[in-house]
Amino acid sequence: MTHKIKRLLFAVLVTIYSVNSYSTEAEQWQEAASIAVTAVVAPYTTVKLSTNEITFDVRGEPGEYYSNEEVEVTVGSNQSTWSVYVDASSLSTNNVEIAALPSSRLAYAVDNNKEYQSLDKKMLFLQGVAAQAPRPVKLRFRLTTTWQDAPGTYKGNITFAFLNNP
Amino acid sequence: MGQMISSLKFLFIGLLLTTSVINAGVDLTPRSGISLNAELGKVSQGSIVLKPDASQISAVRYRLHSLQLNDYKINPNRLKVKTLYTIGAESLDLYRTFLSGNENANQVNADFEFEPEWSDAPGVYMGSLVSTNDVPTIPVKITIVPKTVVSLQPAIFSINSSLVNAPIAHEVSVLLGSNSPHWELYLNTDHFIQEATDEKINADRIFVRIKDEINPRPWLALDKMLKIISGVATPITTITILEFLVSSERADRAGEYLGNIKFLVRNIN
Amino acid sequence: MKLSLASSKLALLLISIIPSLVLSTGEAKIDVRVQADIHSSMHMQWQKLSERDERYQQARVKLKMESDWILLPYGLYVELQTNDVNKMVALRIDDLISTDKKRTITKDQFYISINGGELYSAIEDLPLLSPNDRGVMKKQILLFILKVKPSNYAGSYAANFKFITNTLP
Repeated sequence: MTHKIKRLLFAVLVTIYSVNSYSTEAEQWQEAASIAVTAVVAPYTTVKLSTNEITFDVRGEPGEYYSNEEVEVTVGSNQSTWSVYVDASSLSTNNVEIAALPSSRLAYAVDNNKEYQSLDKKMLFLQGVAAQAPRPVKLRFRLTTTWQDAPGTYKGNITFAFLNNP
Repeated sequence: MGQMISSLKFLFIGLLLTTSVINAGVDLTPRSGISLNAELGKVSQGSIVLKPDASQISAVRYRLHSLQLNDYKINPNRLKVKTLYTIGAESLDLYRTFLSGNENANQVNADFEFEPEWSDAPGVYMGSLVSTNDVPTIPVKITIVPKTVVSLQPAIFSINSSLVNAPIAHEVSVLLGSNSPHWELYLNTDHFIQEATDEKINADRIFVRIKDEINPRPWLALDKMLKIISGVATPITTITILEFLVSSERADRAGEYLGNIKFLVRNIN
Repeated sequence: MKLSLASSKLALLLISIIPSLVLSTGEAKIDVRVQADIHSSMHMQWQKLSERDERYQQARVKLKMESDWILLPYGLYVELQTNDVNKMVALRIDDLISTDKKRTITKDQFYISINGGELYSAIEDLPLLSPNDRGVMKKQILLFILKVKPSNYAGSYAANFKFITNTLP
């Protein structure tokens, strides 16, 4: 009996010691200060084009001609929504007597879509959200020529415009 | 025989006088003496009331005999007393007059002042005021509470997220003062949240390191309680300059993420 | 018989001078340069018409000629189109040679009517496509008239017809 009491007393003492130690340590912790932080994630958009040149090799009479290469466009953005528009200018020569080719002569198709969209006005061809992983989109271009198009070198631009909505 | 009787009378009178002196008393209120709770940055004050009995007709002076915690002694000149007979508060490294002997049993207040220093370890310091007179010593008990002060400069900042290998770091100066013989400074944070969308930057992308331009240290993630620095008792001083980094990921939505970084101190006495 | 000239080459060169771009805020644009080289192109197609052909008859009805002139029982249907302002096409007819090679009818006796209109002498090349016709599809029915002289012998004669294409400098 005496031995059991001693063991019980020892256990109680150990327990008290442990509890007191924990309490003591907890009381020694104090939140001394805090600092308010604003982390700013800057908005970004990255655009990659797979090639800087595509060619149309047209032999024969005027008509529809398709680019031999595809342009792969990859867009990445961390903003809530974003849109990519494509637009084309007219194609003109240095000879003022030669009429320009209007932008409506150019058309594009996306990925495996067989339908071509005219570039007579700015067109939305790609949209995304921030959580979306960058996915390449393939663009194919088509130019339609007519007998009215005089021989010469025509120059213009196809413009990709990016609009972010953070 | 007659001379002997005179001597005996003189002796008896002397003994009576002595007894009167021995029996002359000063009551203290409180009886436990002086008890102060001292906190760094403040002057702690306390009072006792001395009530001499009518037979107390001599001046009573006290000085601080000792005030210590374990082996650490506080200089007696740091405890001060103001009585009717002092010029303002005077240090108790010297005997100061508490009673003039003319109180006619009227009580007199004695007001004490003590201001702890950063080098005074927290704890209960015991000592006593002793007198040249045969009057009771006055127990002195001063409890110095532990205190650690942390100040951050700046206390609020904005930081652009960046890559760990091309970091945009923001500096914060940490000023700390402590009377703890040994202290440890910890940092902790939770996720940073974009309020409008509930998007998060997890705590494992928030990093800190001690600024070292000569030998840049590795970045440490704040995804758990992180011990950043430790030290001994010190007045308030700049103990370190920390650099913070928020690691960016492509999937992070653009905008502002708000969070709090907590500084915790662990005092080890 | 259909003849198609494929002397043109159209090359469209699409040049992207900026293959990648990193944008920070708002709206931004990338211009991709487009260059098209359009070369001269011409379409020519002709077909011999019999006198029973409706097109022959349509022109025949309009034709005015002397009664003693002979309208040959065949004509020519010609389609011409070009994008080149400097291109011209003309019809050249040689002297008629008898099939036994012994007789000749000179081309000054030969006349051509376009779509049943006025007669043009075959002495000179007959313009079928001129600079003013650029871009226009010209469809013409040619009727051939012979002013027979008493000295002409009867028999079968053949002639060579040539389309002459010229490019102005």
